[in-house]
Amino acid sequence: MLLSRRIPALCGRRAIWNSTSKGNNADIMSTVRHLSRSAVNLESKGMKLSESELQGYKTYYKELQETINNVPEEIALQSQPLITLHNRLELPASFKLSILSRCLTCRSSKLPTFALDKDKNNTHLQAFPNTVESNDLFDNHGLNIFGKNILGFHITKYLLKKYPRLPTVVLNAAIDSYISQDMLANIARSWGIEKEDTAIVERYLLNEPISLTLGKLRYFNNTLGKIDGIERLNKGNFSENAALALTVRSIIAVLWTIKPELAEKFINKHITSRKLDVSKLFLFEQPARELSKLCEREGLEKPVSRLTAESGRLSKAPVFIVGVFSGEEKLGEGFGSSLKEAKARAATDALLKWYCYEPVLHEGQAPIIDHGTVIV
Amino acid sequence: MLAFKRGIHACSTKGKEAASKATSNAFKELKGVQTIYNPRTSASNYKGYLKNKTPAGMYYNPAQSATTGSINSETIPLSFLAKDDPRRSFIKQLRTQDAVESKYGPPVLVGKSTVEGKSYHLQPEQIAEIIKLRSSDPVTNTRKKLAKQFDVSPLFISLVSSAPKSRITEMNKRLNTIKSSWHKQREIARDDRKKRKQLWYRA
Amino acid sequence: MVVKVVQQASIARNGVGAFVFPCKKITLQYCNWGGSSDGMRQFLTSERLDKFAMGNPYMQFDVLRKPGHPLLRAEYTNGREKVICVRNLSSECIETKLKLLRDSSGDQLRRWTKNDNVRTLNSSVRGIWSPIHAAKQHKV
Repeated sequence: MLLSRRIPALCGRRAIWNSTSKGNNADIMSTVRHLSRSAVNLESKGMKLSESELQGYKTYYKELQETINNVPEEIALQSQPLITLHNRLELPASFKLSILSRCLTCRSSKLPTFALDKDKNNTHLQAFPNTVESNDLFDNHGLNIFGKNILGFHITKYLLKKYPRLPTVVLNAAIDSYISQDMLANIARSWGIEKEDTAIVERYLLNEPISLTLGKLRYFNNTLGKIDGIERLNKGNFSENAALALTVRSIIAVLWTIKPELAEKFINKHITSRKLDVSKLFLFEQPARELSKLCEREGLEKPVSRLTAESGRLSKAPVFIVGVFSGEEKLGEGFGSSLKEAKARAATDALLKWYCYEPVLHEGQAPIIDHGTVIV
Repeated sequence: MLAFKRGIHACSTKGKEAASKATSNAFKELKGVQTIYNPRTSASNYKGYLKNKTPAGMYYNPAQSATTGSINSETIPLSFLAKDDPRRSFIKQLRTQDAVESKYGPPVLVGKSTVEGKSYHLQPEQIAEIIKLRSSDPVTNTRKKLAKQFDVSPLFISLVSSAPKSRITEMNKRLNTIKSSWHKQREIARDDRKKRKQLWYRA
Repeated sequence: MVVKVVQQASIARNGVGAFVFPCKKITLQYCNWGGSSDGMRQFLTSERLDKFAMGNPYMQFDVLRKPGHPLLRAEYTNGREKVICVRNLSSECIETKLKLLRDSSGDQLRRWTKNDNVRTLNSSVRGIWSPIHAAKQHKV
C-alpha cells in the first residue's frame, strides 16, 4: 500500500479503485458468478454472504438508485468517464455533467419493474443485474423525442438546401444514411460511450465508486438471457444500438435547450460532416423514358441517343460511347460493351446530373423550388 | 493494338470542322503543361514543375476522362442549371464539341417515332378495339401483331391494353416450366446477367 | 415507382467537422512489490502523470495495482485496445510509451506501400484517363 495514501491526493482527474488481492479476488469472483448466474433473488440465494455484507450491498444499491434518480452535480463532477466524454465532445460549460449523465439513462433500464408489474410479490427483480430501477423523471425518454425531431428537421433542411431536386424516396434514404438508428449508434461509439456491463453486485464487491456508473450507458442490458434461458423481451426496441442512438439524440436536445444554434453547429460538426455520395443512392428502372418525360416537362428538345465513339465492334470486348443529346446539347454520356448498355448508362447519367444538381446559394442564387420527381 | 476511332463519325471526315469548333471558346487552350512527367517518354522528370513557363491565367483544359456518373458542376449540362446559376456563363463556353457530335453522330437504337415524329393517328374507338381484341383472343392477337395492324409500337399496345389474367398466368407457367429444365449453371449465369444489368441504372 | 433506392451508409471522417480524440482511456497497471515496476512506481509518485493528465483532458486515467509486470493499457473509440508492457523501464521511457499510446488512432498498424500517398473517400475530380476522351495528341 505504498501509493494508496499518495495517489488520491494527487489525482484530481483520475478515478482510482484498487482491485483486491489475488486470493481474495478468486473468492469474490466465484460469489459474483454465483450471484449473477442465479440472480433470481439476491436475498434468498445470497445467504452465503454475511449479514453485514448484505446490508452493505443494500446500502450501495439504494445509494446508486438515489443518485441515478436525481444525479447531484457534485457526484457527477467526480465521474471520470463523464468529464472526459464532455471534453471529447467539446460541450459548453453550461451543459451540466448531471444532464449528460441523464442522457445516458434509458427508460429501458427500469424495464424489470414494469415488465413484471403484474406480480407484485415477485422475487425476480434481480434478473437484470446491471441497472437499478429508476424513476421516469431523470431519464432520456423525453429528450430523445425532442432530439429526434430536431435532428430530422436539420438534416432534411441541410439535404434539401444542398440537393433541392432529390426525389422523395432518395431524400428519405439520404436522411436515413445520416441519422438512422444504426448510424447514430456508430456515432455514439466513435465518441467512446461505453455501456454498463458489470453487475451491481460485482461493482459493489470491487468497491467501485458510483460516479463511474454515471458515465456509462444504462439500458436494458440483459446479460443473463443466454445463460439462464431467460428470453430477451422483444417487444419494443431495447437493443444496444437503440440505446446509443437515444443518447445521441438527447445530447442534441439538451444543446438545443441551451441555445438552438449550438445544436445546429453540433449536428453540422458531427453528422453532416460525414461522407455521403447521393448519386450512389439512385437506382432507375426506365431511365430513357424518364429522361424524355423530364425534357418534355422542362421544355427541352426531345432527347436522342447518338453514338460518339466506338472500338472493336466485332471483337470480344467492344466499347461504345453514347451521348444523349437534346438538340445540340449533350445531357449525358454512357459507355458500354453493347449499344443498349451504353444508351441506358447515358440516360441514367443525364438523370443523375439533373437530380443531383447543387446550387451555389452563397453566390446570390435564389433557393430552388423543385417541381418534384418525374412521373412516367 | 488499340484502334480507337474517336468520334468516328465526326472526326474522320469532318475532323477540321470539329477541331476548329472545339477551340473556338473564350479561354486559351492549355497545351503541353509541364509536369513531373515527360509527355513524350512518360519518364519522370523531377524538375518538370520548375521548368513550367506557362503564364498565369485561365485556360481551357478539359479533363481527359468520361463524364459518366459524375455530378461535378463542370459536367452538368447548361439546361439543367438554374436560371440564375452564376456558373452558367463559364459552362456555356466549355461544351463546344457537343454540337459537332450531335450533328454527325448516328442515332442509337431509335424508334420509328423518334425519327419520323409522332403521328397520333389512333382514335378512341380504335384503342377500344385494341383492348377488345387483346382481351378476347390474346393467343392470336399478340402485342407484335396488334402493333403491326394498327401501325404503332408494341410499347404503345402494352401502354393502352393488357393481356387477360388467365393468359398471363398461362405464360408464366410455361416460362417456369422452361426455367425448371435449366441446368444449375445456366440459372446462375442468367441471374448474374440480371444483376449486371442492374448496374447500368446506377451511378 | 421509377426511382428506386440503394441504401448507403454515411462514412465518418474524424477531423472533418469535429475531431473526437481517439484515445479514451489509459490504465496504468503496477505491482507494489516487483522490481520491474520500479520505474512505474517512480512515475506514479512523481508529478509527471499529473501534468500529463492535465494536458490531456479527453482521456481517462486509471491506476490499477495488480501483481505482475507493469502495463499500459489504452482503450480507443474504435473499440480496440493497445497494451504495452513497461517492465524495467524508467519513468522517462514510460512517459514516451504513454505519449505513443495517446497519439495512436487505435487502428491496427499496417505497412502502406511506397506510393500510397493519397487515401481518400472522394472520387477523382477530373476522372480516370480514357483514351477515347483524351486530348488529340494522345490519340492512337
